[in-house]
Amino acid sequence: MSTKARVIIVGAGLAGMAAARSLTEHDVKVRIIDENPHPGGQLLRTIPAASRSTGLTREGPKRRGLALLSRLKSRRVEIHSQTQVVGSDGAGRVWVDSPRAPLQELSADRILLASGARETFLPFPGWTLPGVLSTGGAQLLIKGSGVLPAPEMVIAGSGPLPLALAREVLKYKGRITALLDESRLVDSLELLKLLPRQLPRLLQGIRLQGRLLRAGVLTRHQSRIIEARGDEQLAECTMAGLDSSGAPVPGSERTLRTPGLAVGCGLVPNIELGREMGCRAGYNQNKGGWVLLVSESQETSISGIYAAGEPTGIAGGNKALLEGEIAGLAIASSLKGRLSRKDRRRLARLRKRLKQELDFGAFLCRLARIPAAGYASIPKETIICRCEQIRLAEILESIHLGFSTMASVKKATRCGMGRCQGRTCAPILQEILMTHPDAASNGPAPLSVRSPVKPVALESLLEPKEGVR
Amino acid sequence: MSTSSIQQQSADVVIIGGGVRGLAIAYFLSRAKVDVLLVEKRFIASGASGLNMGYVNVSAKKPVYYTRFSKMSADLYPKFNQELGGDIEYERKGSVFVAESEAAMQDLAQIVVERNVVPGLDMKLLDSAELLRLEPALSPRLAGGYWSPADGGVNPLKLTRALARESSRLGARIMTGTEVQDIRVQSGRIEAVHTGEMTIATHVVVNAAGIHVPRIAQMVGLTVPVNPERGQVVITEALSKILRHTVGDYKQFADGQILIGTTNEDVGEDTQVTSRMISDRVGRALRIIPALHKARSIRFAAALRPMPPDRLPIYQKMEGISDFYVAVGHSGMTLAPITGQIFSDWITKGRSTYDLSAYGVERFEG
Repeated sequence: MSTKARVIIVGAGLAGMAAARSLTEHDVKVRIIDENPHPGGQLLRTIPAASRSTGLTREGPKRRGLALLSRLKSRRVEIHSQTQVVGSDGAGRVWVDSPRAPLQELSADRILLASGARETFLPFPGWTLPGVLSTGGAQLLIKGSGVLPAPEMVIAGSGPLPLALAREVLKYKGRITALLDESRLVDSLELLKLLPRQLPRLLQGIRLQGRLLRAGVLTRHQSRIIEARGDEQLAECTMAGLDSSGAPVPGSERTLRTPGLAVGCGLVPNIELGREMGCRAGYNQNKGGWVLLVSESQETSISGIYAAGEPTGIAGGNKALLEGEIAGLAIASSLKGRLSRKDRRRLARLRKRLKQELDFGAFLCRLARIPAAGYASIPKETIICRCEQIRLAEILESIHLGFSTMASVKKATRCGMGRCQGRTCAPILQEILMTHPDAASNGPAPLSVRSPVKPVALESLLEPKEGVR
Repeated sequence: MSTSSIQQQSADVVIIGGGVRGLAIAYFLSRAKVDVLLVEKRFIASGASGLNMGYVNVSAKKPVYYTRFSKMSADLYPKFNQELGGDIEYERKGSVFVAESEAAMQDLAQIVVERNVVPGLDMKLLDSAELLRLEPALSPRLAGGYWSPADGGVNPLKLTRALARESSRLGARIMTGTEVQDIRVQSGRIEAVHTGEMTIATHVVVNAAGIHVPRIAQMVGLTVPVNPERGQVVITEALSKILRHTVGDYKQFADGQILIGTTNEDVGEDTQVTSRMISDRVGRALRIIPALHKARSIRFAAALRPMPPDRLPIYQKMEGISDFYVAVGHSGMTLAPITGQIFSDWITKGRSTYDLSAYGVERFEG
């Protein structure tokens, strides 16, 4: 990693790969930094290894992702796996950490942030018990190793991930005790407004529901897991029905005995690296919460730093592909001068399609969204920060004392200051603050992020390389 | 802008700054039943008070009168801790300083002799073997160190939070996100403090605004020399117990995280961390505590210490204007109880029992 790449792409998911392709087509030297063992991002990770090599998959974005991957490999694009960008020096250089070498400071003419998204949750007492998993984590476990987390499972949450997990559980002959969804059934029908463009997705959803019904699994809408119990290991959980505001209905509780519970409430964009670099963020419920703000060219508020895919808003694989391609073309044009007429027409087409995908994204985010009453009904004894074991009661006490911003609550309670660096609890804490009467007046404020964005071994921090100031 | 939107408030004392000094003063004044309003530009402990080791340190303080002064504050801590509710991770187990070379060892030897002039310090020079018996995780290659039983520590975040909580409970009003724009003086007397949205009628102001002390002091025509000094730190993930005491620049907190300090940089108000300094500090930490090699860092951070030119605190009641006080300097954690006591006495009784002649701004004149 000694030569300077003109463009560093952070993340080898769909957006990063699509950008790399546009850039290499324009003879721009690209280096992709990716934290996973294999390129392809979260979406391709969920393709079983067997079909990954054959390229056999029905879903559009996955199929295009596989095609991109083989193309990048044939073009010998430099992809550094298990490598992370953990920060920057504030002057355009990024700090790159890999398990094999000391931290390096790299510079590039342009940086593209395509760092994806992660799951978020609505905490409940017992959500830290062994046996309680995230829907995404359970899916990776099944697909990665072919092993079910438990022979019987309760799956709950919002957005498309619980459904996707249910399909996998059935495929691997698991039993689904209950499938709960936060939203109302009618909310899903909004997809009809996005026809005909989203017809494939509608059909995909209908096929999936049909498969679940044949297996005797009926999705219970407006339901939530409100507690999980067990001695050292999950044994049972309590579900409750929800009223129209999203609060549990008293008296509707039912106990479900289960050795496995998977929960997930949609995705939040990974914007930490962009924030660390000083890029502006905005809060948009239709995009999954805090997102990096970008121009039509996918450029952030910091000149030369671009973002594509989930960091600019949750909207699925097609949007990531489109934004990656747009960013690639925009970066190529900023480095090489004016684009050809063909490329300009291509950009216009991509932007038009992007708009349609953003409508779909807004639908997805509305479906996954937890209403204020959901956060307001978290019991006080619930752990919010898993690393530091901080309970909601401590956070509420701090808000009462006037520690009512993200930064001050963090300092006052240590919520988010543990090993995971707030990756799990920060989005939850933000929602709690934004819906709390004594804190909401501060308005939404994005988290300020410090390097390292991911934990770094101390010994990697030794021996500064050339180019260090 | 319409003037009708300006909120009117009043307070016996307005404290500017929600760091450990301002909060300690607010706490002691509230206990003395004084009506206090504390305004903070950002949030509680948003500056150096929120990013430090929480070192209650006596052994590194010089000259002798400052060692003695720091010791007096450290001696107030057990009672202070108890009155605050005992949840600030206070302990007085002593601390260790290490020397990597024989030359550094000679410096420590001289420090031990100088400091031990103050009764109760009882510092002791340690050879390499004695050092390892006290702190088995340290490198056997160190030349040695000193042991200072009078030193201790707190958790700075818990201390500032407890001060805010207890002050509020006693009736103090704390307003965060509130920046002072101007202080109105009439015929040599303070009349009001103006913030963007508020006019606070008051005759007494305490300027404890940390690195912003000079700007606030200028509002009443006073020059206070304070410069920001950047300190960069590296924080590790929670680790099993490695350090038994504070070891110079290293402290393991109750939750297992280790803070690796620190730098002293004159770079203005820049809180950027730099890879060179991070490497340098981590390099030294790994030489001294080899067990940290495999540990991971979860946070780099930098804060600005408010540093007077001679590195001693400034405690000042201004001449010519009544009543404007200044409380600023490094070592806010060590000096929290004595600072609170001094200003509470000064404001309520007109005098402090402590000798403050060495800490006025006059010392910088001519």
